[in-house]
Amino acid sequence: MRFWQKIYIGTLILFVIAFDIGAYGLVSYSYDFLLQRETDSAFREHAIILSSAESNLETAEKLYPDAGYDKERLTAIIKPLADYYELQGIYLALFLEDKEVFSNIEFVEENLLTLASIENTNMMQQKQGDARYLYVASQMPNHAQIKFLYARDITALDGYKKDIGQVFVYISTAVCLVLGVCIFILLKYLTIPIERINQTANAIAKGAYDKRVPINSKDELGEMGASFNLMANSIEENVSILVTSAQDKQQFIDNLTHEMRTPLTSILGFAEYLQNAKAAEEDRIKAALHL
Amino acid sequence: MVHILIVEDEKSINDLIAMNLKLVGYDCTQVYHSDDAIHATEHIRPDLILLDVMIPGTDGFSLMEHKAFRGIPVIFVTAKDRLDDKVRGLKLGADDYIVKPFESTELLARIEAVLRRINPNRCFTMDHVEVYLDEHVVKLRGVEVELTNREFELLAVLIQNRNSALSRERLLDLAWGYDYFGDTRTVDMHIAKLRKKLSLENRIKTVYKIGYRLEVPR
Repeated sequence: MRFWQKIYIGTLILFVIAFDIGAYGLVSYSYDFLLQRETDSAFREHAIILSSAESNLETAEKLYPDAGYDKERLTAIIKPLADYYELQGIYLALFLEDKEVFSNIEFVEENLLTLASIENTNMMQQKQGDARYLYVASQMPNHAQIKFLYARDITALDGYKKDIGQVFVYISTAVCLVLGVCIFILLKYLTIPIERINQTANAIAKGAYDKRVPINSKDELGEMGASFNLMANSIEENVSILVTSAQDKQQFIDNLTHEMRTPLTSILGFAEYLQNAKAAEEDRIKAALHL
Repeated sequence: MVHILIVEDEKSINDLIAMNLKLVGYDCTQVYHSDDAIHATEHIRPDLILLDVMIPGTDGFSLMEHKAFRGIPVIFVTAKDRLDDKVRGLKLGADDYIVKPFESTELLARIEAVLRRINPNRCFTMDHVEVYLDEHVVKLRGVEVELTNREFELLAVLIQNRNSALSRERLLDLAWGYDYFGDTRTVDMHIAKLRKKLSLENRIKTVYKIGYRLEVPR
C-alpha cells in the first residue's frame, strides 16, 4: 500500500471514530439535559396542580363543612384541572384511602402510591409500549388520606434521540465524503516532493548523474531533497573523477603500448629479416644498424 | 610491378616494411608525414597504401577521408589495438587492419590478399613455371602440372614469402594450418615433390638450420 493511501485511510477511520464518539456523547448529554428539564418542570407543575387542587378542596370545605370527601366532590375538583392539562400531555389521578377516585392515566403505577407520603414526593419514569411517562406521586399536605398522581408524557424525548442520531449519521457521512476529497487532494499535493525525489533517485540509478531534485519548500521534505542533491553532487563528482582517471589510465596504457610496440616491432622484424632474408650485403648492414 | 606507398613516421618500422616488400619484389615509396602522403598519393597513384594512424600532421583516420585516397586500397598498420579503433578504421573503408607488432609473413599475406582481391587473375612466373594463384593452376613450360592441394598451398606460401626463409614449423602453420599436428618431415617430403614436379631444385633452397627459401631474382 502506498504511503499516502495509508495516511488517507488512517485519517478517515480516525475521523469517523472520533466524530461518532463525540456525536454519541453530545446526544446522550443533551438527552440527559432535556430529561432533567422535563423532570424539573414535572415537579413544578405537580406542585402547582397539587396546591391548586388542595386550595379548591379547602374552599369547598369552608362552603360545606359537613360534606366530607366523597367521590363526586373530589372528581368535581380534579376534573377541570385534568381536562385542562390533558391537552399538554399531562395526566392526573386521585386516590382516596388508596382507592381510585379519578384517573385519566392509561397505566397507573401502584408502587408509587404505596411510597407516597407528605415528606417525599416520588418520581419515576416508565416505558409503556411505545410511549414513555414521567410519574410524580404525593399525598396532599393537609389531607393525608388523599393521594395525587401526576404523569407526564415524554415520548417526544425518545423521538428526539432517534432523530438526532439519524441527523448525525447523515452529517457524518457528508463530512466524511468532503473530508475524503480534501485529504486526498492535500496528500497528493504534499507527497509531490517525495515523488520527485523518487524519480530523481531512479534517474540517477540509471546513470543520469546530472539529475537534481527541484526544491520549493523549507519543510523536512525540502531538507531531504537538499541532502539528496548534496549526495548526488558528491556522487557525480566522484564518478567524474573515476571516469577521468580511467580515461587517463587508458591513455597512458595506449601511449605505453605504442611506445613499446614500435621498437619491439622493429627489433623483431629486423632480427627475422637478418635470419631469413636472402638480401644484399648493404641491406643486411642497414638492418643490423636498426638493431 | 606493384607499387606500394608506406606512410609511417617511425623510420625503423618504415625501413623494415620497405625492406621486406623489396625482398618479395614490390616497389615502395616511403613517406613520414601526412602532407607527403597526400602529395605522393596524388603523383604516384600507388596500387596500395600502408597507413599508420599516429603520424605527424593529419592522423591516419582523417587522412582516409581525403579525396586523393579515393579508389586506392589501404591497409592500416598501427599500434592502436583497441576494438573501437579497428572497427573505425575498417568502417572508414580500409581493406585491412594490422596491429603492431606484426610479423612480416602476416603483413605479406595480407598485402597479397588485398592485391588479389583487386586484380584476381594475377600470374606469378619464374623460369618455366607459371602459377595462377586464384585458379589453383600451375603450368610447367605451358603444360599444366597436377599438384595436390597441400603442395599447391605450400607453393603459394613460398611464393608469398619469396626470398625469405621459412622454418619447417612455420611452413606447417601456414600451409597446413595451426590445428595440424604433423611431423616436420612431412614438409620435407612435400618440398621434394614440388622440386621434382616443377624442376625447381635451384629455386627452392634448403637454408641450413632454418628451413626453406624460394629464391627469385628481383
